[in-house]
Amino acid sequence: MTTREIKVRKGEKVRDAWERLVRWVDSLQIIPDDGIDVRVTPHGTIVRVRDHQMFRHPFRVMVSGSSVRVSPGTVNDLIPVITENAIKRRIDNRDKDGNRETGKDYPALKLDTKKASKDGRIYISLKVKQSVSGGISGVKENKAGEQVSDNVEIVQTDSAKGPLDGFGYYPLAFLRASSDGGSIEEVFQIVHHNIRYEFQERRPSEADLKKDPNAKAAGRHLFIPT
Amino acid sequence: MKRKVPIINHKTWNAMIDEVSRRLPLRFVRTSRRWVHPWTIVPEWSDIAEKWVFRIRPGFVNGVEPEISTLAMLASERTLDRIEEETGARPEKDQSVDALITESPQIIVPGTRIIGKGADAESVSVSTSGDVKVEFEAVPEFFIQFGVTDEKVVFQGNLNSGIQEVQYESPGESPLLRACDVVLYVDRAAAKLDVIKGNPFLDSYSALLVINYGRSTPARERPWLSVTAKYKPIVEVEMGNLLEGTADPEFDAIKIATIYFLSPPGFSPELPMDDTWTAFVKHDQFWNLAHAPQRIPDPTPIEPIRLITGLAA
Repeated sequence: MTTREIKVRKGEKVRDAWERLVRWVDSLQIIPDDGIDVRVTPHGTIVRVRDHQMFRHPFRVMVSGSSVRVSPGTVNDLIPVITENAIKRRIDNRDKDGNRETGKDYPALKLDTKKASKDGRIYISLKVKQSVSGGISGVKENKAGEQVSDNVEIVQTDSAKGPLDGFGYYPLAFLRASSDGGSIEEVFQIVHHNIRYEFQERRPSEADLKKDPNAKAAGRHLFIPT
Repeated sequence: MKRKVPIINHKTWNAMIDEVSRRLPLRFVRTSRRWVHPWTIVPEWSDIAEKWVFRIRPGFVNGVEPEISTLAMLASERTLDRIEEETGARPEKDQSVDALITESPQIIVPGTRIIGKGADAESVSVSTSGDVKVEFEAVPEFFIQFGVTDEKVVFQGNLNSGIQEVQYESPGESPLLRACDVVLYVDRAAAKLDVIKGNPFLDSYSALLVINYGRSTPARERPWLSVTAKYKPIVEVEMGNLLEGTADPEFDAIKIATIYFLSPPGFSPELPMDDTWTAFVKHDQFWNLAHAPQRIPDPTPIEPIRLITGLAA
């Protein structure tokens, strides 16, 4: 309802105009909602809109030109690494012993837009090597008493599933490259939590072994937000 | 005694309206950057389609974004370009297309259900004494403060004495409430009961009951979204149901959100929704989702149930 509908012409009945005015006032009632508090006081109505701060979640993927940085997050309490100039560096900018890297910026993954899929898709994914026990392979304790492993890495893939090379892959974000492959047009964040990883093995059945005596165990990689 | 109605000069009245409208604090501007969760739905009126439509913030299932059907006129250039590249032809504007939700499509609200006055009954039950009870979807509390009223139908009498429906009139000015559900589907393998007939004399059984997992059609590559007037959750099929012939659905489904539409007071129930209505969304999902069967199907063949006849024994 607009104020034009409440205005009157000369000679119009007051009661009709009054009823329209009441309807208009009713429609202006302020309704509390998620993030909006309404307090009616004798001096007036106070409306408070609660401020939502930026959600700084783990594994936030940030693209700058052709490099990608990922905010710290954990997989089974392990900090993943990014390979930068052939060196594996922890994404929380600490060395293997847990000390802050001095004079170095957070590690960045160099994007290769030529490796995008046909429709310009690039995924920034976790790559995990599973252990025999169903966890992550190569976990050690460093001098600070932290569990560390180089087998949780952040890499570029061209699909959400990643290549079928025996490693477990899970996409952190999906980037859409421009049609000429020169830039990243959009970033869609997929993961917002730390991750628990499990590998469920399926051993070859008797029938599988009859067909192929060398049949290997297969299985599935589970990435569970925590 | 007849009261005299006061006369107010029309210029005075209009000046009062101008003054009141100037003083009303009606505009709130949020300046901070708000984090928007996956699956956030934003409804809007489309002047192109002359219908209510919505946009959805992309959500992912196992890192894959769903697709959704929409009209080409509401799809983005990116969708149309992709389809043209795949099929060699650009879709006509009234043609239905499958858009990925990362391509920012607008999606038409195809149909809605009525909640409150004018709603269809959800269930009708008859007690042992013959009384008829009708139940309707309750009006959410949030909308009661807008003046939406519950549908109320009472049946007097019972099945033996004859039934009369009594309709309680609600104030004619109360606003109307309609709603639809946005549902996410993912294809999966379904359990199917196969019966293998045997010869009791040769095979020592007359029939074998075997459960197989599979599909009647190829599984879709990605999840998909659908808009329905009312979503009814899928009931899990138990072994006993399979024996009775109940089919196991070949997909899993979960409700993403309900979109409510509220009319202005006094809106005729006969008319379709227009841009004077207001839309509200109640989300059911706030995060990206992972989908997997509870366990990997066992590669060892399941020992079938044998139906053995007396003769064979």
